[in-house]
Amino acid sequence: MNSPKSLIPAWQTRLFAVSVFVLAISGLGQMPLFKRYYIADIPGLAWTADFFVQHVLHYVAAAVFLALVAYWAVIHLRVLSRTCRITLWGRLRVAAVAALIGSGFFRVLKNLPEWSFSPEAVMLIGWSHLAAALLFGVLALLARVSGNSAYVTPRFPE
Amino acid sequence: MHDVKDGAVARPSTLSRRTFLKTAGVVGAAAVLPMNAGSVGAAGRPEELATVLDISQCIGCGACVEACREINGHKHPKPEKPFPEMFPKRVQAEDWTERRFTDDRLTPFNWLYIQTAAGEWNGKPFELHIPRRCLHCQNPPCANLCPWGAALRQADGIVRINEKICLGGGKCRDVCPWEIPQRQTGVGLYLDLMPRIAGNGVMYKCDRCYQRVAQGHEPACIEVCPMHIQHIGPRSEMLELARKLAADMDGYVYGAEENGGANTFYVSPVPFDVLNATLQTGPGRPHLKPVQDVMAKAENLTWALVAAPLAGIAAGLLTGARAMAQKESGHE
Repeated sequence: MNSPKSLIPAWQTRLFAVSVFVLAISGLGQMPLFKRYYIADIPGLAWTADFFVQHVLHYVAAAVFLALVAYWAVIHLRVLSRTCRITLWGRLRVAAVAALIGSGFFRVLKNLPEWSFSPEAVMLIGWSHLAAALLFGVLALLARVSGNSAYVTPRFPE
Repeated sequence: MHDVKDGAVARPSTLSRRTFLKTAGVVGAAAVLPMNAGSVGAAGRPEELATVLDISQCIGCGACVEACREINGHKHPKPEKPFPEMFPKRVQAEDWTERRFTDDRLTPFNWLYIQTAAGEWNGKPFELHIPRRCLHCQNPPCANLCPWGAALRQADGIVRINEKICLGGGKCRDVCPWEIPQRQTGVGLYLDLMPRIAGNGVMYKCDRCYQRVAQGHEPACIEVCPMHIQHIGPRSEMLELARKLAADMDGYVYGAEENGGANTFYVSPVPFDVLNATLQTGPGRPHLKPVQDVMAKAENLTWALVAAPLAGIAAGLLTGARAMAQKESGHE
């Protein structure tokens, strides 16, 4: 039985949710907000104002996120696409994830000492990554609220 | 004569890793987006420019400070007053307009100042003057960690802040090992966005006269120095020069390994820890301590970002093959 549930166990979707949560927090933490808005003053949350900690967290969570997305993409293309199709809300979120990964790729590249980009490109990379993250967040919220959180649906409903 | 001592922690060689990452980047970038060849430097690009400052020759005349102000004056902040009230109250305005002629520290109006170290070493008194400004790191945390794309490192090694979009959050100053960038409130893009709740002006620092350098001229501070204490050129040549100068004076180099390597090398006849102990340091007055490579952890983690999707693909292929095999055996 090659159903989505058998190929994509619950622990994977939970891990994905955790990675998205950590990415969102550490993404926000890239901006100097947690100190300004007293979050880092809360006992136990001083680390939220440590930009290096946030940066490492973002990279670690991104690695988990990328591994799962790559795994699911292969599973879908090799197996699931024969019996399932991606829903409209799924397509929208997949597009946002693609934009996130694409802009994130250049963000990481930019951070390597061997690579230099023009000021316009640096701005574009930064802003597009932020915009893609916002878009994914809004789409995920709307999908959940509207009851369309499933990414795939059976092609031939029984 | 002793071996030249770079006053810093040694950095392990990362050549093979970097070469791999560069290759991975080229392949990946080509696969994802057409690149603007003019904006991206990679294999075959010109070497970064670096500067050497022989502080044993500096007389502290301040000509470099004056020249920096004059040449870069048109880039200095022109803030609008009154400043927007900011939320929450803990966010303070940083206003240098009344102190724009301050020249004994770094400010938004003073991107270079002369630091003086005086004391005794090896039983002899010394007084050394040190022109201080951004060191233009090879792997600058200010540019890597700027969340807004305002700070950047050019292919020629110049690290600068795009004042057109900087919001003045000050993260670049927080992550800089020397806390070089300085903030002026009441100027910049944040005024057009949400000035009460985000941003606080623009961050300023030495941009090594990038327009002049692009036109083939020297930075102003180098050009006007009457003692010719500064030199600029390809990094490998400047590092060689710095080490030769240091060897000739039985001295020390600072900047070759600091923060993973900067594009500014100070040469001194007195060890930098001795100089640092005599310096007045604090906000706008950087130290001369050894500095670890603050981006090393993140740079190492880049491997994980390359390996993770590959592992995901491999796992997907294995699981997919197993699922297909199960399906086929189920049909038989």
